[in-house]
Amino acid sequence: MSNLKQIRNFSIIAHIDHGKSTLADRLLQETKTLTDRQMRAQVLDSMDLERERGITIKAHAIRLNYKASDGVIYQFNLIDTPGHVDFTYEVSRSLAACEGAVLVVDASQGIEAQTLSNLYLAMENDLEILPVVNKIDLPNAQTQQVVEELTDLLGCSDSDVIRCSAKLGIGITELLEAIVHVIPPPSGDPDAPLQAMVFDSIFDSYRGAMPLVRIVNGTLHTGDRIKFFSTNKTYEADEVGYLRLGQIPQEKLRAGDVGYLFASIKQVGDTRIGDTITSVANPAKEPLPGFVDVKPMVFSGLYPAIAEDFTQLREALEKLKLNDASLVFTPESSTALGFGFRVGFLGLLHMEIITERLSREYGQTIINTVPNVEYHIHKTNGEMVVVDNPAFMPPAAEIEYVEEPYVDAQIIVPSEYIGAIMKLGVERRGEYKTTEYLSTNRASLTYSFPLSEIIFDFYDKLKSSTRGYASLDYGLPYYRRSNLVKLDILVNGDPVDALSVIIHREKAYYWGRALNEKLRQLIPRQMYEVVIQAAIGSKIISRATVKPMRKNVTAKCYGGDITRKRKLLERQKEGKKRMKQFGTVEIPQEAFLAALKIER
Amino acid sequence: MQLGLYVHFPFCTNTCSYCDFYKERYEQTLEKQFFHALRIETELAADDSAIQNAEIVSIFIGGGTPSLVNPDLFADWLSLLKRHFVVGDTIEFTIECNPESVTLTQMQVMRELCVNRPVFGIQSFNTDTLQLLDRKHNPFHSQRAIYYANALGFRNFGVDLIFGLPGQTSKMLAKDLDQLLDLNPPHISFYQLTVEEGTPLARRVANGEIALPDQELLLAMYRGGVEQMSDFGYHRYEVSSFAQPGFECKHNLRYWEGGDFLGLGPSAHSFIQDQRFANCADVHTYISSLQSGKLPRVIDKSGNEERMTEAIMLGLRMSQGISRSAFAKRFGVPIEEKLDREQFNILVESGHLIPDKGNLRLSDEGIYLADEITRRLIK
Repeated sequence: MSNLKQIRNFSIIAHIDHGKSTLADRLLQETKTLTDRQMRAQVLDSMDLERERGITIKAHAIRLNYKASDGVIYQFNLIDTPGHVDFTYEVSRSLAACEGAVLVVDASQGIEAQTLSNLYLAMENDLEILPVVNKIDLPNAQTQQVVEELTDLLGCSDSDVIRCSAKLGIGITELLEAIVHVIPPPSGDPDAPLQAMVFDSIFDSYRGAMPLVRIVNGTLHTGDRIKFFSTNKTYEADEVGYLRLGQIPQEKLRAGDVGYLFASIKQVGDTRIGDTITSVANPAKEPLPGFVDVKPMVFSGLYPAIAEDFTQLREALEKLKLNDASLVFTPESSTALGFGFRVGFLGLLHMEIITERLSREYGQTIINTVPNVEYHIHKTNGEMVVVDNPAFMPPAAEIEYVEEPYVDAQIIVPSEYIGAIMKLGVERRGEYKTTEYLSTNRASLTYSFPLSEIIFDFYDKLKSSTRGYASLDYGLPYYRRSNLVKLDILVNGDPVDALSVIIHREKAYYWGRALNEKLRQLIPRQMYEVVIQAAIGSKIISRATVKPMRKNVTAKCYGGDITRKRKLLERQKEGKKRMKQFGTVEIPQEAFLAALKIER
Repeated sequence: MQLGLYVHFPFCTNTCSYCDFYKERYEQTLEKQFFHALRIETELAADDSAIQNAEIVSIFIGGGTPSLVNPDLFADWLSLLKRHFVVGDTIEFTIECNPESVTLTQMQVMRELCVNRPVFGIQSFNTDTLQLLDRKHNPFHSQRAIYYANALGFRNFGVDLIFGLPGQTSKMLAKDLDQLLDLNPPHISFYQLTVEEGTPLARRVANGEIALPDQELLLAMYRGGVEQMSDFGYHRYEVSSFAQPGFECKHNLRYWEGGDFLGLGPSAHSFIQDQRFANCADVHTYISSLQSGKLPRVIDKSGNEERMTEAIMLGLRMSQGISRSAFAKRFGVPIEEKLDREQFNILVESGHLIPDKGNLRLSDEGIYLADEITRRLIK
């Protein structure tokens, strides 16, 4: 099937929980792409973690054959996109591999922030939009109202919007037909020099990285020598093909095709998303546009709970790195926590996923420090230093000013909650920009926020102050000047580096006091008094003390008590390994984790 | 070989609210069966090649309430013991007594059986306190018991006093001690109340009915008690043990110094040739096991490392501390090798630990925190 006219490349885009995965399942079933036995619920989300959290972390691409009402068999390439703001760039590259996007909106929820941001990404990539209202079977569905929201937004007519229920299989045939008729076939010259765009890369433990590609121009044959533009590295294409539940090898992939490639590439880091592959024999002059070297936005120190596990932690991170190109780590050390790593993440979700995988798949117990963004410190000597670890913040006297990343955010909310959003906006140092009404009772607010204020618990806050109705999305960060200080926590006068944070001056006092109080509760009484202080530079802003232990001795220890008491000591000795010794003070690991739970 | 002997007499007529020792309600028939089993156990134990012909150097009858014992059954068992072991007539021979069950006749019989150290569980002279503890005696019983001991010429006897009770003040404790010191007992066990899991007292604390004193008050009480006793010529030789010179309990010192001891009766522990073992804590299982000719023992499979931990843990509780030479001789390594160097230095620096040439011991301040210090010190 090499006729371009019979190919349709598309993505399904939606706000989280609007039913994207169920719809994808239904398309697979309807086109008999998978047998019923292969059909597990939401097959596209293959990692356990994805299943559990109900979100797609990695994008996938699967080929479907659909016999349309005109009797022609069409080749559909369904490219799944990750559904979280941490992965905006990946989404944009997946969309760039398509000609159209199925925009799914929940009939009971209406348009949400992610619906819009994904839509804008699709429009930036010149995709044809196929609007779909899903879950029309729900008792609280407001199908007609949502259809109107969509026609207003897209300027299309009522009849262009497909009404469906992926769960019950209603409207699926209409959708398949619309894909044929609305979404344009790909263009491209199969005889031109090869330009293949990498839109995802998956790690196979036996065969290395498996980039997923869209052939934009030219033809990629098994056995071709290929080259990646961004790295200039060359490989031999061992195998090309397309994906069903597994890989289906082909002789070649031609312009317009979507498929996979094996070329004995050791790690996915060598197959950068958005990069262009060309052939060594007949190279394209230029790469495809749109490649960005994605940088991590959130940084945290990861330390083994037990010092001896450092090497194991390194090995686990190296293994995770094999199939997660965005994971960045460098060794660091802390006086309080010993040896560990500074790890960069795309966002907080990414961080949670990595720490959870470390514990689940590699059995690592991790202490992570308060995550922070990357700061630009402009020094009085004109030099600019990038700081991703509060410990490396230069002394205040050397600092001219500090910049932190800001993002433009969009919040969509029923109008009755605008007040709640405004309040939250102030608390999070947001700068209000505009309000637009999507309908009489739904508004879209734009803000600029310091990234550090919204990547942590902002989303939960947003949800709880709007009874779950608000939705949020934001774009790529840019740097702005801010009044930031480094806040240290001192224990008996010595700073505990792992507890330092860079924080806005106005929030420092509250943070310091809250953390002091938490620590006072979590650090057990010791033989000596423990003084906990929060300080900015040499100025102490709050103080708490853990009173010393006064009496701790078993009253009776006779013949029958000895074994029991010894066993207790042995258990305590095991527990001691999990304590961090800091001068004469033993700090339990919970104390470090407590810092993560302080509200901003 | 020298051996201390402990016998657990597992019967009481009453359950005290704080007690977690193994005991059953006293019944004459069960007591008979118990003594029958105890005789078998004594014979079987004597067959053990490890302790054959051992010389018993101290006897301690604990419980339970040993003062309830039927003197005939006790005398019979004692003569059986003497057939199997060397038992001198002048060794320290202790029996625990509840003040209310002490009679002159019974004390006289005990004296004739060579018991030379009754220990009275007085606990307090405050009737409210005694009630809280569910003790069945009153201050008069306590005074009477000690009067009997003196009248019968017991040169050595001991008393137990508890402190740190819910609602107790330093003043109340000082008053208790005053009354106790008036009776001039050669030995005082001065215990902080331990709320043991599963006791009625623990339940009352858990549901908030009663509140325990805080650490500050406990420390003040303990310090005050130590001072008051010291003024009357008692010296502390272990955390909770105070004696007039020469009246330290030899049997207990054996436990702490790593000497061998044999424990008979349900729930009794033994330590023989560096091995610890314990009898099952159920009198019925104990009896049936012995009737079928089997010792009801569970062996603690631990070795040299554990022995060293124990030696440090027990040694630091004693005022004399741990003898470096005795430790090195027993284990073949200097004690420092078993201790966390960094903590050792911190503790010496802060004055809690005193590294004398001969002995390693805790200061007064150190004794208050002995558990915490041991935890920090052990490598």
